[in-house]
Amino acid sequence: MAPGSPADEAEPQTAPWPWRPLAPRPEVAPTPGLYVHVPFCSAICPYCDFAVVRERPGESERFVEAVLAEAASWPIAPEAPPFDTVYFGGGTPSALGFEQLERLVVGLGRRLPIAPGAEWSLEANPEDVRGSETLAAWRDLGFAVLSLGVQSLDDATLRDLGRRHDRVAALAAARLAAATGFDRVSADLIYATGGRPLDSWREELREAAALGLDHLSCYELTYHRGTAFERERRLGRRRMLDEDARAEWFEATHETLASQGFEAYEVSNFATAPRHQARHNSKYWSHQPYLGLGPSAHSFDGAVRWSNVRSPRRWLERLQSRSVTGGRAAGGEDLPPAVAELERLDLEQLLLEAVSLGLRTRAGLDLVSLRERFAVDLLAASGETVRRHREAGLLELVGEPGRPWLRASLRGWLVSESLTLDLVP
Amino acid sequence: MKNVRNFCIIAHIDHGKSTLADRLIQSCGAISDREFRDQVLDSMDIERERGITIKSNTITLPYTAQDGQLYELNLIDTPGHVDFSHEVRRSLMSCEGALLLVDASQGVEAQTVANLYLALEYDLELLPVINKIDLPSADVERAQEEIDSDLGLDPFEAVQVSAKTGQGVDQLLEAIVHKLPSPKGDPAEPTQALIFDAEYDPYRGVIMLCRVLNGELRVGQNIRLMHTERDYEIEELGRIMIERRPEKKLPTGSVGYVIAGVKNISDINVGDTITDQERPAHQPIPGYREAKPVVFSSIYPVTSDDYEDLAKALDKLKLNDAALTFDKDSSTALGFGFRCGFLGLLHLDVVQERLEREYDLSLVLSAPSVQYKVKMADGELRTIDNPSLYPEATKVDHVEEPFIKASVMVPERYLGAVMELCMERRGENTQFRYLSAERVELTCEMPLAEVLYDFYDKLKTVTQGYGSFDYEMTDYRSTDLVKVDILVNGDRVDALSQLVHRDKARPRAMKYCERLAETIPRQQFKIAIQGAIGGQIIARTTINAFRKDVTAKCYGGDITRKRKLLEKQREGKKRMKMVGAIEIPQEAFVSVLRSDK
Repeated sequence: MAPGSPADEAEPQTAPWPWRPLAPRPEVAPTPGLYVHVPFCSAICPYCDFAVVRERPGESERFVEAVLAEAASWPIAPEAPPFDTVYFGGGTPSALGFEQLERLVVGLGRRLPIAPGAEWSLEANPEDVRGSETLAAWRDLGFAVLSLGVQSLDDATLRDLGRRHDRVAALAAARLAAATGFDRVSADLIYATGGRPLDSWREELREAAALGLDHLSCYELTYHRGTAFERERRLGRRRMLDEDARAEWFEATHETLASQGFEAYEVSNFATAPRHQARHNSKYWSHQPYLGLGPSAHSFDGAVRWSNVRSPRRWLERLQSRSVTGGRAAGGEDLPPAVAELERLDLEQLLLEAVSLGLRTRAGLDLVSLRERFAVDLLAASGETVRRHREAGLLELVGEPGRPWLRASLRGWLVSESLTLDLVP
Repeated sequence: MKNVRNFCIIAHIDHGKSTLADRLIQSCGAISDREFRDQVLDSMDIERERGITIKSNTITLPYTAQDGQLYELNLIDTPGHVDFSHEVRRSLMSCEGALLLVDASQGVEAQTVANLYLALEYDLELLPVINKIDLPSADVERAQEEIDSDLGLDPFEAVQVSAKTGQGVDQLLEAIVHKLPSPKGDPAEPTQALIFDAEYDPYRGVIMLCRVLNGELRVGQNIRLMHTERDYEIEELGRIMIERRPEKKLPTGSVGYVIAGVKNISDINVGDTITDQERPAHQPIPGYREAKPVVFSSIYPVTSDDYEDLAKALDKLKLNDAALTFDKDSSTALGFGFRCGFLGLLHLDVVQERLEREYDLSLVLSAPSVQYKVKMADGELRTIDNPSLYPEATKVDHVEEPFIKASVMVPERYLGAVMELCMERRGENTQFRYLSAERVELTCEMPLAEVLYDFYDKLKTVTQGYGSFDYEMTDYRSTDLVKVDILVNGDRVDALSQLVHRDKARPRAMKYCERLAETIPRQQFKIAIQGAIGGQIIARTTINAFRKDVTAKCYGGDITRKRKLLEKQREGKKRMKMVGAIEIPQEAFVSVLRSDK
């Protein structure tokens, strides 16, 4: 049977691939998220390592059709719970025209089971916010969450980062968005880019916090392989801040935002209230399932991870060729057309992920649920490690009696990678 | 007997001894050109690669001389390094003559002189041979002068050869026949045969190589080894012509092999005398000395899983290397291993290399130590070569350490630098004599321990490679010994403890601390690395805590990447050794300890 509409999918094992994606698994909270990767950008930022391209004429129309074709190709099990978050990321989703966005929103709803109360999020660049009408149109399409790619409020930094907007545009977009009536407006900021004093960053954070936004994501600049920045760093034309300085900037970020009423609920994410925490992104950190559509999109069903072809144009070709299968998994089975890699995780790998992801969150690790999922009692198995790190102020044991949670402190967050390896050696 | 010539070749390393041996074998037709491999006698890979001979081998060469008579030339190939001087001695005891090889481009070197004295000690007839005359840098006249001045031999007797091209080898064979004496000995006397080497054959057990001095050996004979007082019956004997060729008997003056049902190489002592059970000799051949290890080091496998393999490999090496000793040892930091005894640093090197190469093991060796005589306050005398067994300082009355007489031959312009090096190495009674206008032989008494610690490298550096070195053990002398411990956040790293002279304690400890600071990765807390004598801290470095390892972003796609990275790091972490709460990578030990030699 060819991939068709989910309603026809009575016998999932007759699908051309043998696993049943997004089937409910008892060990995973059964509320999957849906991610759509929009790869188009007007220019490629020198630090970015996402799958992005500059759009050629007519390409975005073909992209939209291909996403819908990919969505339709998934044999969703009838008993699978509906998606309760939908996230348009990129790239630059706001670069799509209104009609294209509408076709995606409506088309996805027809092809996939999306819950009526699902949270829809849209990433947008400040330069694409052309006035309150644009914002209202997005809101009226059903996007309740707007995530603005502000990156900086400092013109020199924006130029350095190769952005196409300036401070004035960023401030205007943020203020307008905050007044549009979204459930949540968030902004991304990048720090530790070099060439400026820490105090000016603290000042920038205070300014951002005062814009009326509900959520901020603050990322340390990462030098990814293959990016222009990394090449410049290697050639000695760009200096990365040293480890001590980066730690200092991290701590300053957290301290400043805490003083402005933003609570860090993840290593790089801050919200003014628990309800403003990003619901879709939280699925990544709590090991919930998600399906990714579009080039390079990743998916996880609770035990299997797979990823789509990374190159946007190759992804498009694969979907347009209407071939039934794509590559081959390590196990030898045929993969769906868009999928490049597939990996089945064993319990040990899942545990490692669960601990490393959980330690990134303020909530931390729910030790009881970990024990139920993996039959591992961290307090018993790594008791000495936990004691040592609690004494050193890196780990904290919180929660109610009978329901302990283990979480990283602010200093623990800085070294959460090594804490992970200590906890699950 | 009058047509037998027993001789060896003695030379400095690299002077072409093995190549010359090959050429003699080829010229006598003992082996066809097709079978010929370079350096036939050096059968171990390391020997061939390094161009040195470790185990001595022997071979019988039939040679028809220009006088038309057939001669039996027994060539005994001797080890060319000071560590193996006991093996050299045994070989020399089996010969009447020796070829003293001098490199035409290098001239006489310290070891040549040392070997000359050894040969004279055994009353051998010496035939100087100037080798490598084909080299553009060859200076035959200078070599002749040095043979005269340094060795006191007649330079005009010296045969000039090129072992490489074969030039002069025929003249050399004639000189061997005419200038070296035939063996003396009495066939009617009770049997006396010297075991000068032994090897282990997995099918036949121990193969003893012997020189018959008096009487004879024959198949079926009931023999006794005089020092160990063990009795055996000869199953097989014969000559070695590349391969073993069985005979009925070995007459007086001959050299050959004996198989007598000896199971383990440690059951016999090389240097022992074989005699007849029914008609024993009155006394064994004099000059018997047991080969005793003088350098000790603990060997650990890098991965503890390899311990069993290491044990097996040492057992196998021991089959052929009676001088190697080993006992179980363990270290908190490095796990289970073996405390091994060696004849010297080269012996240690060779054993390590064979273990790593032939048995595919990756090893860490603790700092080499000499054997100290420790007189306790209560009068007890202890012999200690392992820092972990060193008693508390308050219970020690005094300590003695082994001394050597070191001899360095060097062009005169480096004399100052070498004297300085010897002084720095606690050398005493430094003396020098001019061998010629430009060449000096410097002798001094110094602790053996000082040679173990990068002495060769330093000597090579300060003399730009022109200095040659040789030593012999002399006596034990009083010393101011301390045990230096290395502490990581207060916990002692037992594998890094060492016994050193008080004056050397601080710099040595500092070097260890610095190297550890370079190789131990930053961890979640600050790490203090200290060197200490007892409770007194004498050196210190710190490794600051690392501050940040968390990645900024972790969404859908990054999770797989992150996990794979963590899995890789976890693998690396598993190879770490825990000292207290500190993780020390094995590489840190390797880097600290390997820099030692």
